[in-house]
Amino acid sequence: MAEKPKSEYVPNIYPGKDVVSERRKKLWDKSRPLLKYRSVAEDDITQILSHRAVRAAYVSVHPPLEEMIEPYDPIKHIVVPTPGTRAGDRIRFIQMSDSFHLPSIAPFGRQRLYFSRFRGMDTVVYSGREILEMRERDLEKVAKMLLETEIFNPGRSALKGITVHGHSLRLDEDGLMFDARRRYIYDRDTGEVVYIKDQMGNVLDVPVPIGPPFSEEDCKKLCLTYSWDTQPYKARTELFEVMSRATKMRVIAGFNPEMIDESM
Amino acid sequence: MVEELSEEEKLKRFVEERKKKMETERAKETAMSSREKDYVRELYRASEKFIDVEKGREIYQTMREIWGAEPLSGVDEKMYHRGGYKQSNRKREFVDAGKQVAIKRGLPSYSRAVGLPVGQRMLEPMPVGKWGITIEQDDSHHMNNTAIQQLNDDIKRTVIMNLDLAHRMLQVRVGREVTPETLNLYMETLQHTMGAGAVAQEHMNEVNPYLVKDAWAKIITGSDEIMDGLDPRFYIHIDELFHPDRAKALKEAIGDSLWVVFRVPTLAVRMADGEAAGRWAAMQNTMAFISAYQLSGEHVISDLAYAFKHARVIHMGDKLWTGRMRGRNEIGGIPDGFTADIIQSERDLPMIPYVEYIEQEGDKGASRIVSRLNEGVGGISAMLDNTLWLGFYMSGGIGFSNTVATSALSGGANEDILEEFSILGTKYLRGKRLPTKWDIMKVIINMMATYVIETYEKFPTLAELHWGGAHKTSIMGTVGAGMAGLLSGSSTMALWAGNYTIAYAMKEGWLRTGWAGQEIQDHVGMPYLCSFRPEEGNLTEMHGLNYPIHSYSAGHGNQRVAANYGAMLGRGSAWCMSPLVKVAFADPHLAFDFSRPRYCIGKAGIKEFMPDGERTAITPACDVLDRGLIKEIAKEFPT
Repeated sequence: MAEKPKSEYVPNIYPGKDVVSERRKKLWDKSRPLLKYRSVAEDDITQILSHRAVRAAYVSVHPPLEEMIEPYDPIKHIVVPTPGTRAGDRIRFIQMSDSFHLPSIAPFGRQRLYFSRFRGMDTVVYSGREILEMRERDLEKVAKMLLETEIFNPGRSALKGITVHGHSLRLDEDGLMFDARRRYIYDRDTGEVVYIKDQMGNVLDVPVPIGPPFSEEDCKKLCLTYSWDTQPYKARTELFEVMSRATKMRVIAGFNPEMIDESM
Repeated sequence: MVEELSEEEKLKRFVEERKKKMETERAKETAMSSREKDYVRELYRASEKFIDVEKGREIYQTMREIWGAEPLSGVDEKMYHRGGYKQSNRKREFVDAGKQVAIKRGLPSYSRAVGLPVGQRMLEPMPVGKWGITIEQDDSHHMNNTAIQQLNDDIKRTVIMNLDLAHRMLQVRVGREVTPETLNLYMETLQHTMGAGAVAQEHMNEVNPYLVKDAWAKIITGSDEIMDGLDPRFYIHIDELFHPDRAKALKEAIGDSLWVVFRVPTLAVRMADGEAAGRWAAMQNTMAFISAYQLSGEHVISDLAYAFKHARVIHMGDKLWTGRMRGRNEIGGIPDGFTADIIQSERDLPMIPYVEYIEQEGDKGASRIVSRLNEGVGGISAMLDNTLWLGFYMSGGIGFSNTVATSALSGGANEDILEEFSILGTKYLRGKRLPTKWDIMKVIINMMATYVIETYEKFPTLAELHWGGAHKTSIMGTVGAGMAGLLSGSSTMALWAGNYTIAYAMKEGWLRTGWAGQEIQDHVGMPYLCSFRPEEGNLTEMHGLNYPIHSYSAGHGNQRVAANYGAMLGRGSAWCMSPLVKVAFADPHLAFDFSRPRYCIGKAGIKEFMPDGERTAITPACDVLDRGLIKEIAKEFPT
C-alpha cells in the first residue's frame, strides 16, 4: 500500500493569541512536551492511587491478548493495543480535582488534553473534577505525567477519588484547595504538600510528599482559565467571534446544514 | 476553454491557495492580537483602581452578611477549625433525633459517625430572597420544607375543566335550563362532592371533612355579566387579584366561556399521583352535575364524563414518555409556558414591556422587575426542575439537586447581579426593545455573561456559596435567558442566549460547566430552538422536562422558564401560554402563595408555614417516635 502523503493542514487548536490561549494550544497539542516540575516515585503513585499494593502483580480480567482467540474484527488490525490492554489489566481510575481559583488546568482542559495525548481511555467532565479510566498499568504511566508536569499544582489540584467537592471554596490558610477528607496537608517545615491519605481517603502508612505549591506568580503565569485579574475574558475578541459564529451556525443550520454559506 | 490540470498540479495549486489563505488569516490575527494586548493591559491597570468600587456593590454586603468575612478575600482562615457539624443547629438536631430514633426502633439511623466528616468548611446560613428570613441549607430540602411540598401538591392537584360543552348538552339534549341559580347550586354541590361527599347514593363511604378541607372548586370566566349572577365565593376575582390592565387582558382572552378550576385534596395526590387528580375532579364534577341538574343514569352522563375526563379538560402536565412514565399532572410533564403562568410574581405590575417600564420607573422599576423575575423563577421553576423532578423523582433524593435549587433561592445574590445590569439597561436602552437578531443580542449577552463571570471571580465567597458548577450553570443560564427575554420579548432568542451563556461563554472562560456534561442540553438545544417541527423542536413555551433533551441534568429548569417568563415580561403580556392557568394560580385559597414563592419556602424553613394534607384528624395523639411501631402491627390476630 502506498504511503499516505502527510497533510499540510496545521490545526490551530484554539483561537486567540493571548497567554491563556497559548497555554491551551500547548496543553492540547500532543506534539509539544509538557514541562517537568517534580519527580514522584512510581511506588508513591501506586500508593496514592490505592488500586493495588506496592509492587503487587497487576490484577487481570482476561488472558493476554496473544493467548486469546477472538472473532475476526478489522478494527483490531488497525488499532494497536496499549500495554495494559495487551496484558489484560483491569480498568482503574484516577480522579483529579482542580481549584476554581487560578488553576493550572481545569476539567475541560483535562478532557481535551486526555483526548489529545492518551490512548485507550475514558473520561467524564464534572465542574470540579475529572475522572480518567484506563487499564491499570497504562493509568499508572499517565498518572506520573499528570503529577509531575506543569499541569499539576500541588496546592490547587488534588487526587480525590471520593468526596470531591471543594473546588469552588476559598483556599485554606496555607493556600491549599479545600478537601473535606484532608488527604493532603501543607508541611510548613519542608514547604511541600504531603499526601497523608490515598485518593479514596484511607490513611497511608508512609506520607507521600508531592512538591511545593505554585507561588501566586506561577499560578497566574500557568493559569489555564481566563480571570479578571490575569487575562480578562471579556477582552478576547477572537474567541468571542468564534463562539458566536459556532452558536449561530448551530442554531440556523443544525437541522439544515445546507443553509451554511461562505458569508457565515 | 477550461484548463486541464493533472492531479499533482491540482494538489499543488490547492496547497498554494491554502497557504496564501493561511497567511492572510495570520496577518489578520496578528493585527487583532496586538489590539487585544493593548486593551488587556489597559483593563488590567484599570481594574486595580476599581477594586474599591466592588465594595459599594450590593452583593458585597450580601456576602458579608452570609459569611461574616471579607467577601473579596480568597482565603478562609478558619477552614478545618469550625467545629464540624456542631456549627449547625440543624445538624445537631439531626444527630440528636438520629440517636433517639435508633434507640427507639433498635436499628441504627442518621449518624455522623459514618461517611465523610461534615463541617470542615463553613456551613453557611442562607438568607432567602430579600425577605429577611435566614434558613440553613438543610431547611430547603423538599422533605424538610412543607412549602416546597405544597408547591408540588398544589400544582398536581389542579385540574381545569370547561363547562360550555356540558351546559350545551344539558340544554340541547336533556332540555334543562342553566341559570345563575342552577350554577350556584351546582357550585355549592361541587364543594361537597370535591371532598368526596355523597350526593346520589346513601351507601357511600364518605371522607372526614378535616382531611379534605383543601378540596374546592372555583369558576373562571371573563364575563362580568356571568360573575354578577354568581355567588362571589364561587369564582376567582380577576379584577381584585391582577393589575387593571392585566385583568382586562385576561378577561378579554377568556371571554364568555365558563371554566372551573378544581383543587383535589392534597392527601389524594399524595396517596396516588397527579393522574388521580384528573379522575377525582371528573368524577366529583359529574356527581355534582347529576345532583344539581337532577340527572339519572341517562345517555348524557357518559358524554359529560367524557367531556370532563378528556374532551374539555386542561391538565397541568402531559404524560411522560415511556422510560420516565408518569401520568398527567406530574412535575415532569408541565410545559415551561405553564410554569411561567403558574408564577404570579408580576400580578400587580402594569402590563407594559419591560424596557418601557424601566424607562418610566427608572432604577427602582428595573430592580422591581428583576426581583419579581427571580422570585418566580427561583422559587418555583428551580424547585420544580432541580429539587422535585431531578432531585427527587429522578435521582431518588440524594440532596444535590436541592442545593442547586437553593442557589436560586439565595439571598439577593442573583438579584444583586441582575439588578446592576438591569439598571445599566435603563441608561442605555431608552425604552427600545432589542431586535431579535443574534448579532445584536450577542453583544449584550457577552457583556452580561462576562459581568457575571467576573463577579464570581472577584467574590470568592460568591463562588463558595454557589459551590458547584451546576449551581453556577443554573444562575448563569437564568441570567442570560432572563435578561435576553426581558430585552427582546422573544422566548426563542432568550433560550438561545441562555444556551450560549452556558455552552460557550461559561464553558470556554472557565473550562468547566457543571456535573457530567451539564451543558449538553445547551449544545443540542441550539438547533432545536428555531425548528417548529414537533420531533425537532417547538415553541419554547411548549418545551418542558417532558422534552427529551431537557431532562439530562439539574440547573436548566430556571433557565428555560426564565426565557419564557422573561420574554412575557419583555413583551408586556398578561400571560405566557394560558390565561386560564394564570388566573387559576391566583386563587387566594391556596396554601402556597404563587406570587411570593420564596417567602413561603423561607417561612417553611423556619417552621412557620402551614401546609395542607394534614392527617391528624385520623391519627392517634401520641409521641412522634411511637408511630407505626412494628410491635403494634405484629400483634396476634384475635381468635
